[in-house]
Amino acid sequence: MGFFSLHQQPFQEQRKPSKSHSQKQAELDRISNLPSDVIEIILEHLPIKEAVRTSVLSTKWRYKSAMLQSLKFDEQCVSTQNPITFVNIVDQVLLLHVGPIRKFKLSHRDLLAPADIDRWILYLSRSSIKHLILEIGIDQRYKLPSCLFSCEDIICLCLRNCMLKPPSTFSGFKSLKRLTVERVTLTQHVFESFILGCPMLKGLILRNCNGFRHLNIDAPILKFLVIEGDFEDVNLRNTLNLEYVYISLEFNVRERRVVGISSNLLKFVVHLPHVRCLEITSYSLKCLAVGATAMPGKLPEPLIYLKHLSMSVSFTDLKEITTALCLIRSSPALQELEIFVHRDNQNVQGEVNSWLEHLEDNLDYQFTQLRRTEITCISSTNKAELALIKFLLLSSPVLERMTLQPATGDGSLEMLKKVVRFRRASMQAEIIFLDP
Amino acid sequence: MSTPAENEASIKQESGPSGTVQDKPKKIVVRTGDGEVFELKEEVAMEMETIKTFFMEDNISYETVMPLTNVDSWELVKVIEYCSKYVELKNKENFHKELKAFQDEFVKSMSPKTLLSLSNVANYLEIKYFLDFICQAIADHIKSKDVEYVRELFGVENDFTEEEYEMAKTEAPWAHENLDKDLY
Repeated sequence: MGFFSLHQQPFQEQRKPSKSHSQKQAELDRISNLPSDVIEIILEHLPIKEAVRTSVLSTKWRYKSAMLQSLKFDEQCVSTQNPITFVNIVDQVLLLHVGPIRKFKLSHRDLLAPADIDRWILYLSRSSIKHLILEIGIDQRYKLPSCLFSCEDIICLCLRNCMLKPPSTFSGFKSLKRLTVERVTLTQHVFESFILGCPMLKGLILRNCNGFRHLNIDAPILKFLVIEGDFEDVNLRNTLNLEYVYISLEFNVRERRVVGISSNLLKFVVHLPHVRCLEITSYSLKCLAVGATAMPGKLPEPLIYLKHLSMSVSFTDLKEITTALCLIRSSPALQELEIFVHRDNQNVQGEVNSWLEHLEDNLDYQFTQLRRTEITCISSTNKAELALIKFLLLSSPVLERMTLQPATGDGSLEMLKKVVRFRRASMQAEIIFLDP
Repeated sequence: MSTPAENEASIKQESGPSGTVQDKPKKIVVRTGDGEVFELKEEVAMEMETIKTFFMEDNISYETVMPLTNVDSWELVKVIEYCSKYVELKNKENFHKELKAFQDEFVKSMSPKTLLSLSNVANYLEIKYFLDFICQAIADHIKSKDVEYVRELFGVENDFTEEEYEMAKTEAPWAHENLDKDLY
C-alpha cells in the first residue's frame, strides 16, 4: 500500500504517485471523497480528540477537523501522557480553528476559572455562534460575560449553573428559538425582559432557577414549556400557542394566597387553548387546586387538542381530586392518561368519602378517545383511587390498556380482586398489574 | 394550496379508528441507477426529502417514475428497510429501545465500504436521521484506532512526507495517545 512505499523515499522526493496508481487509490479510498457535509457529520460524531487526530490521515484530511463547525468539550478531553490541561486543549483547538463555529458545547464537572470561559465566549461571539451550551460544574455560578449578549445569531442557548445579568443595552436575542436555564440565578425583571426580547422563542425550559418567585411568561409563539421550581405563582399571558407543558412546583403552605374567586386551574388553563400534552407533577396540582372550593365539573372551554395528560394527585385532598377530574372531563380528545398517586401521609378527609357516594350518580361521561391509562403508586385502602379506576373502566369504550401499579405489596391482592370485578366498557381493554 | 394527494395523506393521518373511505395505501415508484424499479409505500417515501420535494414541489403525479440515478438497488433496499422500520416504530412507546435494538442488528456485519456507500445515499436522498445514524456507525469504526488502522480500513493513502506528517502530529500531541494497536 502507499504507506510502505513512502518509507523508502527521501523526504524531498515528489509526492505524487503514477497516474494509474492514483486512479486505483481513488477507487479504494471512498471516504476522503465523500461530500464535505457528510465528512463533517462523521467528525461531529467523534470526540474532539479523535476528530483532531484525523488531520494526519492524509493531505486531504489535514484541515478537515480544523474546519469543524460544531465543537464539544467535555470530560473526554483529557490527556494522560502529555502535560496538558483541559483549558490548554480548548485553547489549542480554538487557536487552530479555521472558519465559523456554529455549535459549541462546554460540559465539565470541575471548577473552571471564569477568565478562561470568558475568553472562549469572546472568541465565539466573533464567530456567529448559533448553538451555545454551557454546562458548568455544580460548585459555580458562572457570571456570563457581556460579550455573550452581542451574539446576534444565537438560535439555541442552554445554561447550567450560571448567573444571568445582561448589560442594560441588551434588548434580547432576536433569533433565539430554544432557551434552557437550569440552576441559573437571575432576577424577575431580567427574566421577563429577556423573554419579551426573544420574539422567536418556541421552547423554554426553566429548572431550579433562583432569584425570583413570581413567574410571568409572555411568549406568543412559545410551543414547548417546562417549569420546575419553587414559584409562588405561575402566570401565563399570551401563550396561546403552547402545545406541550410540563410543570413541577414545590408547595409552600404558608405562602399560598387566593386571589379572586376563580381557581388557579382556570386561570392557568385559559391560556392553553392549543395544548396537546400536559404534565402536572410534584405539587403542581395542589397549587392549581387553590381556589377550587366551587370547582365545576368541567371547564367552561374544553381543551380540544389535549391528547396526553399526566398528573400527580393526592387522593386525600378533595380539592385535588375534583380539580383532576375537572381536567379529565374537559379533555374530549384525551388518548393517554397517567396518574401518579401522591403519598402524603394525610388522612383521608371526610369530604372525600361523601364525594365518592356522589360519583356513582355522575357516571354519564364518556372518554371517547381514551386508549391507554396508567395509574401508579396506588394505595389499596383508599376508596377514592379505586373509584377512579372503576369510573375510567366504565367510561372508556375504546380503552386498549390500563396499567396499574400498587404502592406496596400489602393489600394489593385485595385491590386486584376488586378491580377484576369492575365492569369494562371496552371489550379490548387489557388490565396489566405491575409489581410494586 | 394542497394537492388531492396531500389532502388524502393528511386525512389519513388525522383520522381515528373510524378510518377513511379510501384506505388503499398510495405507492411511489422509483428507478435506481442500475435500472431496477421499486415501489415504495407513500409514508416511507416521504421520509426522503429528495423524493418528497420532487413530488410535492411541482405537484407531480404519483404515476411518474422518479429516477434515482445515484442510488444502486442494493443501497435502496437497505434504505427502505431502515425507513420502514423507523416509520413503524415512530409512534410506539418503546421507540428508543426498539430502535436501538434494530440499529445494532442493522449495522452488525456491515463493512466500512458499505457504510460509506450508504452515507452517500443517505445524503443524496436527504434522510437526516438515517445519515446521522450511518455517520455514527462510521465514527465508531474510527474511534480509538490509530492512524494506520483507519487508513487501511478506508483505503486512504498516506501522501504526507515524513516531515509534514510529524508537523501535523506535533500540532496536537494530546490527540495521539491511548490508541488500539490492533492492526490488520
